[in-house]
Formats: sequence, structure tokens, C-alpha cells
Amino acid sequence: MKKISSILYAFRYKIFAAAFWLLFWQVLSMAVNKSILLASPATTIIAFVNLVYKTVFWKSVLFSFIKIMAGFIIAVGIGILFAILAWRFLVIKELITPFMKVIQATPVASFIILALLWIPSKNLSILTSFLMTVPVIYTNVLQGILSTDEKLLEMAKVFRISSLRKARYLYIPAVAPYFFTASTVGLGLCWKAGIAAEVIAIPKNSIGEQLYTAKLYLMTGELFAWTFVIIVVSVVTEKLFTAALARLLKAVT
Amino acid sequence: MSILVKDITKYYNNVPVLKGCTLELKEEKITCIMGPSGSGKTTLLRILMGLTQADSGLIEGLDKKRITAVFQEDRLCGYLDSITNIKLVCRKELGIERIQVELEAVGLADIQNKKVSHLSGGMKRRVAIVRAMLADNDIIVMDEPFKGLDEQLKCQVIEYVKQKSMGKTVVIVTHDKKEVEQLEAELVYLNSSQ
Repeated sequence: MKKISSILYAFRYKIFAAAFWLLFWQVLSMAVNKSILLASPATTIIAFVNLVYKTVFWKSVLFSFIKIMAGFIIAVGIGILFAILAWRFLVIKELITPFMKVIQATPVASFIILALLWIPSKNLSILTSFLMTVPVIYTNVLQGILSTDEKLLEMAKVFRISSLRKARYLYIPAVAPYFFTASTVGLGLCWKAGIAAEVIAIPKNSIGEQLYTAKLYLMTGELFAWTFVIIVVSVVTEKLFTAALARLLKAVT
Repeated sequence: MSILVKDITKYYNNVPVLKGCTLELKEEKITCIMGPSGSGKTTLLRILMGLTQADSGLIEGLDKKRITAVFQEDRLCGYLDSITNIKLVCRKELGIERIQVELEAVGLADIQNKKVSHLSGGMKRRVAIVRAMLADNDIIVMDEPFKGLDEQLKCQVIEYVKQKSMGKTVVIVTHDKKEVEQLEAELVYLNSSQ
């Protein structure tokens, strides 16, 4: 009992914030008084519980998770590779950087509509996630490499430290904070853009298809429930990824 | 073979930092370089280490020689412990026990698990000195290596450097004549714009 109350005390501000916003939501839904426009917290919870028992729920979550994370992981690999090449070869930096800026500036919807002409709808979220993440990873990793302490690099030159050791003990620790930030931002963008792509392309058994169906039949409770699911999956993925990254970094350095 | 510095000139923004500098650093001896601030001592060391190119002149005796250094700033990786900092520049075969013995010789027992960023300035200095001594070298370059050490510790560390640098060519920038005497070193004086 004492442990529970001490945990509650430790998280008192977070609990207060959650309770405040739930209450705000509830009051707002009562004020609007039209569940089609704004479902209440209770309606959303009921819709969520009903969803969880259905096989299609888990299939859809798994489908979207695999596609979006595939896009993210490919973006991480390509982003890091391009950043290293851009740091090493000025001509590559001059070629790639404008391309990355164009991707960053282009609206997601433009990508999605164009990409529908090129690739099957079931893979659209991979491409969209990739395009949203790769400029963020590239820019931040390049910045991290360039921020490596010049004095340490001079020391490495004098002491004839091998490239592998320089990478492990000088460059990776310098890049790590930039990469952490980029990954967190990139994951958030991935989920937003990936789900948006699925809502437009409507691939079978995806979260996007479920959202589209809920919107079509004005099932606002389900719509909110799916939104809640997307947020939870996105946050959990981010936490797991950054925890795994922290462990990897500790092992490497 | 001694290191012969012949007529080295270096300008920064059209201002001569070294002008026609000529001196000899005797083989397997310790040479101390003294001079006023701005006389180009650090610049000369940077040229010896290959970090800066001279604008004119010649240095003989550096071919295929391995250089290690103690910089004016410690240039240690703060996020690593002292042993990892040292292992980073040494051969893989160098054991942790050997490093610990060397650290104890300069008064640094029981710090191996601490990150370097948590060490005092004097401790970092000594780690940097041990690093320079343990890495494979023929020439050791040191820029004010004993700065920040109290007198007692300084004596201990100077004795350590004397012992470990036997058979090596050592160049030390210093402002303290007592250090020169204790090191039993040759002394070279750099004037401004020499």
C-alpha cells in the first residue's frame, strides 16, 4: 500500500494532467452533445475494448507497424549512409542536400498522390515513412559528424588512431545525441505520414483502412479509439527504439 | 638522428609567429623550450606533430618516427574512463593491469572506473601524460605538461617522465626553469618572432 501511494505521489503531476484533459474532453463532448462530432471518453473506451477482441484489429496494427517501421529503418540506413558520404565527398553533399531539402518542403499529400501512380497501395506507407524520415536522419547525422571535437580529431591524428577506433570512440559519441533527436522526430513523422498514406490508399487490413471505414460510417467512437491506438503504438515504438539505441551505444563505446 | 629544425617560418594572418627558427633537438635527450608568450612555442610543436605546415623551412629527422603528445589542453575523451582513453591510443595487447601500474606511479590509484569528465584538472593532466608515455613512440612532444600540478606531485610526475622517456627524444615546452633542472634537460630559448 505504501509503495503504491509513493508511486502515485511520484507521478502526481502526470496523473493530474491526464485527469485534467480527460475531464476537459468529457465536458467538451457533453457541451457539443453530438457523438458523431465528438465522442466522449466513455464511448471511445467502449469502442476500443470492442476493437481489441477482433482479429482484424491485431492484423491491422501488425500490418501498419511492419510497413511503417520498414520505411523508418530503411530511412535510417540510407540517411546515415548518405550523411557519411556527404561528409566525405563534397560533390555528394552538393548533390544530396538540395534533394533532401525538396523532400522536406514537399507536402505529404503530394507524395502520397504521386506515389499511388508508381507503387502498389499496400507499400505506400513504406515509401511515405521513408521520405518523411530520411531528410531528418541525413541532416542530423551529418551535423553530428561535423560537430565532432576538432581537438580530439587532432589528437587522433598525432596518436595515429585507426579509422575504426575513431569511428567508435570519437564520431559515434558525437553523432549519438543528434541521431537520438532525429530518430524521435522521425518516428513521430513516420506514423503521421504513414497512416495518412494508408487512409488515402486504403490498403487491406491496415490501420488507415480502419480509420477510413470508421469515418465513412460516422463511427466517431471507433475513430477516436483508432487514433488512441496509433498514439500508443507510436509512443511505445519510440520508447523501445530509443532504449535499444541507448543500450547499443553503451555496448559500442 | 637528432631532429633538426632549419629556418622555419610560419605566418598567421600575415603576422610572423615563427621567423627563421633554427634549433636542434638531440636524439634520446630531453629538450625544454622556453620563451615569452607569442614566441611560437606551441606553433613549433604543432609543426613537429604535423598538425600545421610551416610556410618555409625544413625539419629533418622526423621520417617514419612515431610521435605522441601531451597537448596544452588535455584532449581526453571526457565520456570515457582513463583506462579506455589510454587503451584507445595503445596496442591491443597492452593490458589493464599495466595501465593501472602506470597510473599509480603518477598518484592515480582507484580512478579507473571514473569518467575523465569527473576528474580534476591535475588528474586529467596525469592521465594525458601516461597516455603519451604508454603509446608507441620515438618522439614525445609535451606542451606545458606539469601545469596545474602541486609541487610535490610535480616532482613525482617529472621523475616518472624522466624514467619513461629514456632512450626517447623528448621536447617539452615549459615556463619553469626548475622543471628544466629536475629533468636534466637541454634548454632552448625562443625569442619572439624567431
